Amino acid sequence: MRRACGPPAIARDIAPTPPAVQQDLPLADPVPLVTPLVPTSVTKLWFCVWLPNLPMESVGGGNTGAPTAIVEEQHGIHRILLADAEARAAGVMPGQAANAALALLPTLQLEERSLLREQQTLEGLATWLERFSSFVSIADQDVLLLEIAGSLRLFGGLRELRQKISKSLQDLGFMGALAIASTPLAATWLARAGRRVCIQDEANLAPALRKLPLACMDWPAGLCEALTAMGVMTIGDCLRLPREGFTRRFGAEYLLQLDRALGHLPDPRNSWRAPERFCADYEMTEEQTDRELLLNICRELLLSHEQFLLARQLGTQRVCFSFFHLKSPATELRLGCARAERSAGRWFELLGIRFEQLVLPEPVIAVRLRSGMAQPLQAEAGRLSFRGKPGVQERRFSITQLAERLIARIGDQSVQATSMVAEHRPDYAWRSQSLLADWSGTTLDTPGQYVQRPLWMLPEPALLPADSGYPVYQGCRLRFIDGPERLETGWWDEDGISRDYYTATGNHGRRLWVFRNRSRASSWYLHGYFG
Amino acid sequence: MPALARLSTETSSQDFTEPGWIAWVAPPFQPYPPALQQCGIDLSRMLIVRPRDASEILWSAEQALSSGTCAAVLLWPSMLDDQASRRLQLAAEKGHSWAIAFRPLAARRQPSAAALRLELHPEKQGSRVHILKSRGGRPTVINTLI
Repeated sequence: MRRACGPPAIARDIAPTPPAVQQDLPLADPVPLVTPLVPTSVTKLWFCVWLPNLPMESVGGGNTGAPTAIVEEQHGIHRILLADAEARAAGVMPGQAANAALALLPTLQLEERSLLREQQTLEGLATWLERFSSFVSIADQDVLLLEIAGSLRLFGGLRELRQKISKSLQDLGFMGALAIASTPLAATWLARAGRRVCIQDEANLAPALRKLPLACMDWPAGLCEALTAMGVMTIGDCLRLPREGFTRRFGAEYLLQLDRALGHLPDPRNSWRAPERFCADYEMTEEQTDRELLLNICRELLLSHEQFLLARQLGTQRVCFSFFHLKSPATELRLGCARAERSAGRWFELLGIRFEQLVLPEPVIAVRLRSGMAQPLQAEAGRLSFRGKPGVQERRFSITQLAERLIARIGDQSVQATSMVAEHRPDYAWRSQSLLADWSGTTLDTPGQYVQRPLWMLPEPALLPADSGYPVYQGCRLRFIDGPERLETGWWDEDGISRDYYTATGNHGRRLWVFRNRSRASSWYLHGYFG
Repeated sequence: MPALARLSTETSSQDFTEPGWIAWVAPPFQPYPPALQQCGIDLSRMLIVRPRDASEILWSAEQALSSGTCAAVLLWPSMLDDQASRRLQLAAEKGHSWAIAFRPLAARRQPSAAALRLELHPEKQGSRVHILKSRGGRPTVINTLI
């Protein structure tokens, strides 16, 4: 009987699929007529930081002691965008013309709004907040979102985490409104409305959002006015409107936003990824010549550099300091490390070696630190010693550190390692490489050559005078003791050779490696000395 | 130059845990890797340093000697006074390293703190070695042919 009932049962199982297709519809079709009910599978918790005073904070306002206001040009008139507490007390209001504000408060300092600075400040803060969450998103001009569900355990719970973030923001001098909700938009709106709430359960979202005013959604002013004229004052009023009519009048986008805020639609966000290069400036109020002070500034920059790399578990092989002067071009100081390094102490040590020799043509007005490409840290193998053998001293530092110190003082090009290349041409049979390159990959060819090679090579073969067909070195005719060894190869590139090599010696006992070109038989060249 | 041959054998059977590096400070020409490899020197443990002036030569050599990672440091100083040679000697003792300074023949009259000073003359069948100074040895001049 059961088996007989099977097919209809399967048919019933299949039956719900059409609704599933309908559920997908809202994603494909931007006009959802049916309220989609797709529960999000992974619980996420969004921590929103809204920075209402960002325009002021990014230009460093409020530090001078004088009342400050930020102005923005709107339709050709400078209007007040934001005023600090002192200015507000004197009656300066956002939206006022700058002249009107100055009439009210002649000591008012006006600062032009700089969107670029705001963006930089926000990015800096996002980078800084990465210590609390692996997912930080810049949601808007002045909104940062952190996904904290994964960080709760590490930071000892929601309350602890919120306190930590709140306190750090205060310490950094930012005024932030914080809110936590299970969808990013809800968190943003709650923060904008100034509700310090935490809504973990999606079921509680709608009641919490209902009471919020329209303004916190940051919708266009025209739309808000139209809604207000209709008597729609809160989000709850919006939700009560018929979906179809709302879409027809105002566009599907805003309905989608409401659905996303309530968790009915997924709301994927982009994670903020800081640039993998560090660049920081330190500007001084006046020109400085004190080298001790400059070193201290460099140390501070290196410390923040270390923090930057620590957050990414990365290191870098190169850093570059620029010392800016008022008139002459900036003095640059480049440092290199054999392995990716982030420790401020080690960089500072390298800096110290170079800084002694650095000539600064003028007093310095600003210092900039730029780091090279960040790379994963390479750990250096330490030696495990079981018993201290007397007489064997601890190494002061490893070869990489030695190389770094040498390079820091005398330059990258002057410190080299060498390796062999399987090649018959003597000039190409070896290669020198910078120690800053990854030298661990050097492969060693087996010594397969049974012919003697000289210990010392001349950088370029030197022409020797000839005496009746024999080469002459230091006024003495050379005798051949070995050879010829014919090397004729390299015809495939421009540097092909065809030479007969001889080992020759003169009266002085020194053995030389000389060769004769087969094409021009008369001229002899000296290519190396045997030790 | 026979010292180099000894050096190469010294390197391959050097430290019991990990062989040390050989640093070449300001060599007159390019040390030719194929020849070095024929001598048995491990090329991956060679460091060639070309400082720009005399003080940097001494500084680099001292750094390499005292680091404790270099088994031997060969240097070709353009000038090496008594004080500088003393510093190198101390650095070598500190880093358990071996410093060999190659100097022109004219420098043999200068005092030096080195433990052993040899004078080499190329001959037809090799090199003639005069021992100028040997710490703890007899202060005589011996002629040896290698």
